[in-house]
Amino acid sequence: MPTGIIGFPDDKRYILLEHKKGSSFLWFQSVDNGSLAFVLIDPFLFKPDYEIQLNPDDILGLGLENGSEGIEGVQPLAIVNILKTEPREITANLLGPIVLNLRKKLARQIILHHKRYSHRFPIPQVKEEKVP
Amino acid sequence: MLILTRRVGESITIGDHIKVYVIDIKGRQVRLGIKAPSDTTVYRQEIYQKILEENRLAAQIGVGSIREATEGKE
Repeated sequence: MPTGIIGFPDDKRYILLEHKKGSSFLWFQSVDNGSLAFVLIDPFLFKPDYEIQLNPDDILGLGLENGSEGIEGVQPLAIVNILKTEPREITANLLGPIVLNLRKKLARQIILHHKRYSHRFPIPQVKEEKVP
Repeated sequence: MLILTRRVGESITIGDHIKVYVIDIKGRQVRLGIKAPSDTTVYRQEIYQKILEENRLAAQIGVGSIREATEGKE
């Protein structure tokens, strides 16, 4: 992650892990800082019309040369937060997703100005996928 | 903090690679142009602050909290 996650500019290497079998949640674990990790979720699971927009710096930073990957080579994942409400509300930051270029193993946190998504979008009940 | 006054058409150079141009002024709004290398990210401050705060809170979530909060929600 060449530019790191905003607020954590020195941690540039992460691995993506499953939270547990069948879960929609993923862990983005820093390789260099064992105590730094984020919970991520695929926003399309609860917002099928989610749209990202990459500016020229994003495209460069993600190693996407002039649309050769198209939008297919790119996976946005939203950072999950748990609010201190009762009961606990789980939210996803749709305003500043982490975008992955899976082929090149590059990632970047981008900020989406165009749709004014919420940085605290509530995650509704997600059906657990039965793993055969 | 360095405070400068600029007119429309004037600019500021930061370091060797960043330039800020005053493009236009309309009432209380300033239109700025920013030239920076692609590895330098430029954000509107209030949005940057929002994301920064959100990231910091999110980094505090441990495995236990996610388990607890997602009972039946996965």
